[in-house]
Amino acid sequence: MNVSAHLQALGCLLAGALMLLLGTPGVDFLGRGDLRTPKERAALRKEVGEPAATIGITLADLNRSLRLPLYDKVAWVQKPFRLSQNWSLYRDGPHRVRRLEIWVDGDLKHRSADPDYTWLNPQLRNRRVRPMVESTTMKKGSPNWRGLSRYVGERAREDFPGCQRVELRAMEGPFPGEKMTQHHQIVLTAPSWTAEES
Amino acid sequence: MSTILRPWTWFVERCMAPIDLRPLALLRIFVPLCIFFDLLRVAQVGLTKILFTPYAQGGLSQVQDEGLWLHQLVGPERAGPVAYFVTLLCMPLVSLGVAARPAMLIGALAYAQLGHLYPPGDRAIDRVLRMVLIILAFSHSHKVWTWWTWRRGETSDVTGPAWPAGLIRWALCLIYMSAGISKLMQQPRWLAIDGVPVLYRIVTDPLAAHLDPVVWADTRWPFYVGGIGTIVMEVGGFMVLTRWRPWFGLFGVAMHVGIFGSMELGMFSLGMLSLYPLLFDRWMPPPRSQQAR
Repeated sequence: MNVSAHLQALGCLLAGALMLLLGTPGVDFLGRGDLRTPKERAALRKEVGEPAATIGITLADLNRSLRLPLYDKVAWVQKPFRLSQNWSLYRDGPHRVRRLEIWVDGDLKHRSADPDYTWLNPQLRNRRVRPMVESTTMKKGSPNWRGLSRYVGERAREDFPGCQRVELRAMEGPFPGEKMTQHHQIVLTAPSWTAEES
Repeated sequence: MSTILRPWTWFVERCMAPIDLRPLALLRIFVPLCIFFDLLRVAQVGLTKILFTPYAQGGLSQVQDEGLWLHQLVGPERAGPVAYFVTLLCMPLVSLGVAARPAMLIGALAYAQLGHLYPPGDRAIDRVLRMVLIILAFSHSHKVWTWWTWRRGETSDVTGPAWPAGLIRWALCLIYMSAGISKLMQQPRWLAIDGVPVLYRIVTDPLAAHLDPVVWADTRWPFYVGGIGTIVMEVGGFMVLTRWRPWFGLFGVAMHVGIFGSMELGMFSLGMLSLYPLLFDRWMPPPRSQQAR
């Protein structure tokens, strides 16, 4: 076998090991402070019993003392191509039903997953915008609520010329979602169209 | 031969073993097509400018990632359009196998800049497809089913080293197992057959799915079965590394088709399925020139 074969195999081995280190199944979603205090450990023991609790605590300790120090040294390789190796996807569903409603001058124009109110559906349901709609609906003061509400306000002025007030209402309620109440809202009003969250 | 060298030699032989390149070529064709049409969809619904422009310049996202450097090179207003068009240009080249290797690396780099510009919209599937493009750049996938081989009438009976296919399968194994184990560790009720099923809450979430939570509220069993099936399939991700991978692939197809039908995750399911030729490689008929012999 030539040198190239050995180099390719070495590259493959390193890449595979790096993937495993950066995205180790079962611990890649654990935080640095998880299961650290006696109180947290006792709570876990009470919740899942033995031997699951001891396994979980050992994994968290190994993650903290062994994996994360190595992780910190090599994590930079993920940056240029934005290849974060955290694959803990869809761990749990939402525990409450949430919908975003958009009202323009008192008329309901959009409601999440409601075929009767579909204004801006192609945009707000697009996979790239959806996470922003989700975070804005889930909690007050989410990181990008200003950008989203500014966009909705601009589109309302384009599609409903002369409109004076746009409201984004975050609605929520227990499953199956027959009784929903308003959690918070964002209001934009003419002429300034500055977004106010309350 | 020493005991240290023997396993290494075995590993090098495994890595360099010649394999049929057609499954990798299918990935080279499908993966960039997913990205290409996903980006065209962004343009179709008029989101290109606001998605890939920082908030200060009129865009949606107030948060940009520290890996963003293109804005320093071409300015904050041009960074998005430049990265968008470079990605859009590179992806069909990769599919056609024209300057495929540089197009894969440049395309993945430009696509990553789009992610750095608009982090909320850069999802797991984007990371998966970029990773696959980079691995493919080191493979020989560009030697089969390309524009040039079609023009010259060359056969698809070409082999190349096995390690890129093995590395992508390894990535798939980690992805599925990580997703499955973390689901189970955070929410053991994935395996429960009482109470509100976890899968029901996911596929009826109005913010991400289109099944009506009220209509499906009393239909529990499909969600219990689907939830348990999801965990079994994902935790069993190591099957990707075995010769039973086509059978695992059938379960994977069922799961991704289910997600595609019930949720609005854009190209997620199609992107994952674009990697499945590597799971069904053992069931592929032999290349045409071999059939003729």
